Amino acid sequence: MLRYAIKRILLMIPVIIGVSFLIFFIMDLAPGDIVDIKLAEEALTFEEIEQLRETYGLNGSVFTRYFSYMVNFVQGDLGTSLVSGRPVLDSYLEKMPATIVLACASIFVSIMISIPLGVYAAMKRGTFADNASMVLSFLGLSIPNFWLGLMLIIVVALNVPGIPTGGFSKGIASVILPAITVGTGLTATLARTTRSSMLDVLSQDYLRTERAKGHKEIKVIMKYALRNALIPIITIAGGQFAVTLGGAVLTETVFSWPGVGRLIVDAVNSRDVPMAVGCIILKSITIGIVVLIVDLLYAVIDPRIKAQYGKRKRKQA
Amino acid sequence: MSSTNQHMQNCSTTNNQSITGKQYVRQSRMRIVMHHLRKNKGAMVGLFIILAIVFVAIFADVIFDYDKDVVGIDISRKLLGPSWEHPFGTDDLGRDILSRILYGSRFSVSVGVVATLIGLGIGVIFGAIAGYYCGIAEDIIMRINDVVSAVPSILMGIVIVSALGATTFNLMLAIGITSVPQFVRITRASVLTVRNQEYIEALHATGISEFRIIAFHVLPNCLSPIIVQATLRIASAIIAASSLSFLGLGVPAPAPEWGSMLSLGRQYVRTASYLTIFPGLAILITVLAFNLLGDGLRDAIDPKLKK
Repeated sequence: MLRYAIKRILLMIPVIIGVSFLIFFIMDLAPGDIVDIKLAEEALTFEEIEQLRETYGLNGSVFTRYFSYMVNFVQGDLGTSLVSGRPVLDSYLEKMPATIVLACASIFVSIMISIPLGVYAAMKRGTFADNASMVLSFLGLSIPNFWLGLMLIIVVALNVPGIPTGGFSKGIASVILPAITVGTGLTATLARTTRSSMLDVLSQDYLRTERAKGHKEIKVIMKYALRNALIPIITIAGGQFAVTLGGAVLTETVFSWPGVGRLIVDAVNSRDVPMAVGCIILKSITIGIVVLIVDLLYAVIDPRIKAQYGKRKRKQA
Repeated sequence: MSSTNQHMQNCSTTNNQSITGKQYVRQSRMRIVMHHLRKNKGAMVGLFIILAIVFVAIFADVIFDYDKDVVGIDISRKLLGPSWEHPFGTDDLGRDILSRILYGSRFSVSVGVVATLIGLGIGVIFGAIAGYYCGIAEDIIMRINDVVSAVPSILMGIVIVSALGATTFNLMLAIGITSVPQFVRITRASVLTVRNQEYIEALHATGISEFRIIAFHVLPNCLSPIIVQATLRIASAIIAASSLSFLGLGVPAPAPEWGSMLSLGRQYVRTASYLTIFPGLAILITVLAFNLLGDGLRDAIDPKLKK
């Protein structure tokens, strides 16, 4: 399993190089740069402009600049923000706690709603309850989550005292609405996956055997059926958690959430290339690592996968 | 002589039968899909809503005067709540929200459809090359695909639009590019299942060019999953377009795009919530309709997937 993990981490390297070049190249296509933005704010002489360009490393071709950026990147230096003058890594890490809180809260909301809903829908297949739960999940899939966020502000935050309309200053109360907003979109996909995966498992013979042994239905479902249906559920939930951990751009904007998503949007809008490229690289690495952890989790959940790793090892020996 | 005639008649009958049989098989495939689709109430509701939206989008010019009703400023009637005269109220510049939403269907649906077509066009070409030729071509295409899909689509959209400028075409292009990886993957997977079939081998033997084989014999047999993916993708493209417009990176003002209307509504969320409610409902209904149709189409084309 260790070999597999190392191989996956090594495979991330070309992807990261590709992502960084792609973003660097696209942002270079933009007309104007940080010096032009400064020029619009204050009058600068020709010499000052040239000096600023030299300071920000804006002279030279895109390939030269990219090469020097990557040389620094390999040495652990993601550059300095052209706007705030702070190191990119520091800014990213400073915003990370808010993003982690939102990602964990939203995946919690999603799992708490979607798994019971999906299991129930599968157990009651074809009934009104099944159709109703799937219609609900379809609605969740179709709601633009930034609009849902605004609706929650109108319906809840403006009427319930103690629930703020935005920010991260009021502790748990601040997290409730953003978590529901992000979680609803995740719930829809996860509920459908859970139902589909449970339907595959519910027709298996071993469940009939467990029932014949006299186990209660709830035990048969929760212990034997759900556990066997978990792999696709975890794949989807893990992927969604990874993406949210990279920053929920729209929800963070709606709720003025001080997370990574807003940091990236602000960096792109202000042509702050080192900040934008650095944050997107870090985000891609975060997503890659979380997806890898999820893949490794399969072996913990399903002993058959663990046995496969063992088999491969024995074969190689 | 008579026996020869009899033989020719038999041959002709056999040919006619085979043609009829062929037509029957073709029709029946289509009929099966349509039959399944018609039986799916959700898909039919979705189709009906889409047709209604397309109708409104086409005849929006006839229904409303663009300069007067949609973008015409009249401060004397600003921020009026819903009434008989203005069922969805008016915005901060006195523009009627209902007419802007109905006219906005033109922008939102066309951005969704064109962006999907861009993604589909690029994705199918590269997916077909990767699936058909394999080897180095496949490796290069799939690694580039990995790179593009490693960046979350909303971020990629933001980067592309802010680099190229916030215009309707750039918005379509950005959303189209973010959907390319999905189409590449799905086309490649379908082409891989078709390329080794015997009829492709037979076509090689006839000396037809590889372009013709791919374009006229391989791709038509891979269309089902691509069509389903495209229908579902239109829904997410509409959401992506309104998301980027919401962030100020979409269709430029004063065009009535639903996302930019929501962005304006956000500023008046405490005092004029109807500015937020109605454009969002328009997005929800449109996206729901495309999702229902796409889901129904998937079940109809491959009933095995229906669970």
